[in-house]
Amino acid sequence: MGKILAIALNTFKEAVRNKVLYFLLIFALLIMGFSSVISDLSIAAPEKMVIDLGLGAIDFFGFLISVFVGIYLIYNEMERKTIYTIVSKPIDRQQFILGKYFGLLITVYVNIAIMSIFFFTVLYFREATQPDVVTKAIFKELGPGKFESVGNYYVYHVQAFFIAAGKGIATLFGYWEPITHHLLRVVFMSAMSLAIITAFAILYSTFSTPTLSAVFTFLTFIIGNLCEDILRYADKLAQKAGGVAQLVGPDKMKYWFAMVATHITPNLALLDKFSDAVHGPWDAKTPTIHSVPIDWVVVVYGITYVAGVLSLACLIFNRRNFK
Amino acid sequence: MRGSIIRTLILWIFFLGFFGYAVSIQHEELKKVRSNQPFEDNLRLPSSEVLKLTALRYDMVAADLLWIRSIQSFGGRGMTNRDWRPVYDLFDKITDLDPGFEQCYTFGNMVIGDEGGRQKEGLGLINKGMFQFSLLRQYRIPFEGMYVANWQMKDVDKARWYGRIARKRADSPDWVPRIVAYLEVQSGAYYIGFDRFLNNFLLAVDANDIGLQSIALNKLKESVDKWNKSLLNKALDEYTSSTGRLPSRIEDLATMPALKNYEVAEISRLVALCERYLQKLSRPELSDDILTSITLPTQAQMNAPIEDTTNTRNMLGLQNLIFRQCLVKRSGIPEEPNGSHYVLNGTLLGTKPTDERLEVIASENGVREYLQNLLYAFRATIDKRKKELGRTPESLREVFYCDPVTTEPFGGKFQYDPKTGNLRSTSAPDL
Amino acid sequence: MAFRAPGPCPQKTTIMIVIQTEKLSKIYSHDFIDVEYGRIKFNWFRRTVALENLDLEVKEGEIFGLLGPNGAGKSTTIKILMGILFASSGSAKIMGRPLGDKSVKQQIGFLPENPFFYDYLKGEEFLDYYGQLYGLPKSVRRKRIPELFETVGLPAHAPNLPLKGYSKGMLQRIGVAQAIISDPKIVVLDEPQSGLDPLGRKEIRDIILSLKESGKTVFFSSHILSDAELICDRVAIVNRGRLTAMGELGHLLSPKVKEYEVIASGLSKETVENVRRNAVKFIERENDVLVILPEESQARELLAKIVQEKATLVSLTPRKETLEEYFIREVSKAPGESKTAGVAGVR
Repeated sequence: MGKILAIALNTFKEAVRNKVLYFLLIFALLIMGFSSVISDLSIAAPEKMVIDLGLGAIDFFGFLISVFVGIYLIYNEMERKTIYTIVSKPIDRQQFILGKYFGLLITVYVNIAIMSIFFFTVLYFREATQPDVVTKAIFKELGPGKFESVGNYYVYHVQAFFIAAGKGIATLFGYWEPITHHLLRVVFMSAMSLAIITAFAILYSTFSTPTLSAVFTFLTFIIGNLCEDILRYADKLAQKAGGVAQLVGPDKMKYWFAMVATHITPNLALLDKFSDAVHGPWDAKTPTIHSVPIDWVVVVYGITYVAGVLSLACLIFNRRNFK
Repeated sequence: MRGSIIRTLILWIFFLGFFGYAVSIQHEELKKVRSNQPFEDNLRLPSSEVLKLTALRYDMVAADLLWIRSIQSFGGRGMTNRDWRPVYDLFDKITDLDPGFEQCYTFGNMVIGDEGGRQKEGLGLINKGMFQFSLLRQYRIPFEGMYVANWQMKDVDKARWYGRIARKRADSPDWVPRIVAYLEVQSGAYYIGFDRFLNNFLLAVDANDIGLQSIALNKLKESVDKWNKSLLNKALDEYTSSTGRLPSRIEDLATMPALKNYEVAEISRLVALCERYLQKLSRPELSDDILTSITLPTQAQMNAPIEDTTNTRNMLGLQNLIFRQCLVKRSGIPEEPNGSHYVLNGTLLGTKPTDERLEVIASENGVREYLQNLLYAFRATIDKRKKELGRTPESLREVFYCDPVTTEPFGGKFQYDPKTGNLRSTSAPDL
Repeated sequence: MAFRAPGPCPQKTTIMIVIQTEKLSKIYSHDFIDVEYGRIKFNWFRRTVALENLDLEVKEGEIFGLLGPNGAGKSTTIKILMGILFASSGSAKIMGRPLGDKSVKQQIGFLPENPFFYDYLKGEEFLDYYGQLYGLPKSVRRKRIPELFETVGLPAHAPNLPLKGYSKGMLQRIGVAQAIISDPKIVVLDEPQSGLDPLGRKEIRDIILSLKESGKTVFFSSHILSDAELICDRVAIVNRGRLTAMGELGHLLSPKVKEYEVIASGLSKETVENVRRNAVKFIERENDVLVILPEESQARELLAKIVQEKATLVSLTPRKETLEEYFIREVSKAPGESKTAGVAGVR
């Protein structure tokens, strides 16, 4: 365990030196900041825009980080031959794979945490700088239509930003307001799906080059996202032919291919709670916020899936010759 | 060294020459884009299925981006060719991508049905939204359908069907059943219309969109105007049938039963309420741009008590409250919404005009406009006749071969000067 | 750290054999589509024999050199022993245990060829990381790391300098440091001197000798034969994947003097002409002459002349066969007639 941790921490140290990571992170933060501007263009439901874009950015950029950082981790060790010294040490190869996986996961999760804090900060700051809130905060109403200025506009904004940032950090530890209601749960589920994708990135990089690994991981991500659509497509094929038994020729092949593909790739849509965050049913306790239930079966599914993929990665890596 | 300087110079000249030329071409092309009159935005999107697949799990984000695009497209097309068909496709795809986007159904219906005059497509969107949401929520969507069916398609049966669905939704306010009941009577449409445009107006106020505000406010004025006129026309009918003669002034109608203790919405009251609530919510007041040619509120209206606003922070949340407070029970001649007052059009009085635009009862401004048009037509005819005769006609009879108009819209007779050939109005000599 | 024999040891009484390979072979069978360093290769049943029936024995406490030209299979052998590659057939044992045994790996330190380490780590962090991989507790690491910097002779600023700033020689030294961090019984070095300047090579040589002094077995591969000759107790020579010779240096190289090199100045013209006829090699510069003579009698004759003519003898060097010459002789032989007698003699 201590050796896995040592490898994981070293992997994290290596990953944070990857420039791609910072480009992706900065881009994600820009998008979140920009979502506030975009929402002003909308004539209704501006919060929906900010939340949609923010959650989407966290998920997608988390994915990109896990791919672009992950595919190089094992490859670099082989290319630079540092793996020689690691393998000759008294550790198992699976300890190495697990160490790399957890190191990458730590990197991805630290980034998700940063993006989430920024996202919550944007939401709280948006809330605090609504014209009515600002006016209430910096003017005192003396009578109908009579106001007295009690605060500075700019000072208020700077203050609001820091308060929002503080609340944003607190939100990561369970604090919430109606605007951020159950968003942390959505992020949690996103993180779960990223754990699966990260495992795939590691799996592919145990036997192929970075470019191919990236392509494979992207394909897995796409098929995983479209899992349910592909299943529906297969069902439609069967329905058209009048039953699975009636399928012939290429249709039969397509059907079974789709069936296999949907059953072995992860169904990432199970872990997608974006829609619930904006349109979900009302919470039973607090009827003004949408409830995002955590489906523990799905969480168990995610964990077992990761374990399975990592076992396969270890199997491949254990038999691998390093030239 | 010398050679290298010359080469550098040549390269600079090449760079400036080619690049400059390319930029100038681009500038010309951009000019063309700017002068291109019809709004040409590229909305050739793939089918919803393909969009949904390509958006992966981020279809909500894709829907948001298309939604913003659709608003731009709405504005652009509204200013140029007013071709709404592509916008319909856009709304259809947005709601396919994000079926829970309630505002898209209602706004889309407003764009396509109201502005575009394609009520069937608008209703298509409404139906889609209605079945998308559970039967227990979102009364607003079937309510919109009821409005379109009743107000624009004049199909009361269809409107009642939508109304019944709206009434059953859990979130429908108390006045929805009342309005549905009004569908039976003619005036019901005005309630629905007013509420409908109030929704649009408050949405625009929340979004600080001046353009949309003025569109919605004009619609509100129009619906109040029609509402008032329907009452006045009813009173006019009652007056003629009970007394057997025509009224001479609009005030004669004030005692009729149709104008006793009736309920109507007032624009001045709406403006007062909006201003008061905006103030209470500490938000900027309404723009002066939209408050031109409107009946402004009185001081009493401005000081009228308003309700508690702690439950909401945007104006849309106050819609039901404002709607209820805009309605007023009163007797007598109703208030004209455009900052004018109602008068009888003397010219049309007693006639049964087949054209809907010819109104016996109209606002003072409207009647004045009518008079102006009339004078313009008469003068043109006189000029024409003058050329035929080679002299000024002696009387109007010589021009029109009969006595054309006996009464001016504001009362009195037209004065014709045979010497100069000038036609003047006695009631409005400045025209 | 005391050497703990893992399991029963068959040769307890005699000299202990720590590394033993039996008929070790490695055949690279290329995949139909092989992705190698980012390039896709198409292969049609292509196979490369890297190692064929290699039998090696390394005794405890000696410096063993695995020599051979480039591509002979030295690195492949070491990689198989270190568990980086898997042998196609044959077997190998380290300390009487099969390869991949963790308790054995604990006793081995390894420095690969042209090592590239995590260049973002500081020297200290780097050694700490490798110490963790050996499972050394924190207190041991804290004590051992400063010692190691001293042992391998790294400058004082090295611990806090990222490896990116290390010179090639410093990298090689910290590489040795990571190999001996757990105080192993066996130290395996793959081409430890490649790419170093003469001074660096000498320092590595000294380190290897000091490792031997502290009772460690050193197994290293090299193609720099003059260095190997200086320090090795025993060598094995491999060529084209086969063992060509193995044994003690004294046994392998013929002990008799091969030729004599004489440098003298002030010889008469006549004598010079005389000598030139017998010489294998003859160089004349101003007054000096350099002559290489094949026979001892000829050298004696020349010395007598020098005394006679009162010329100056600058140097006289009797030259034995070097490892390099032996090596070239062996390597250029046809594959069949290799000197297996050496191997048998050791047994």
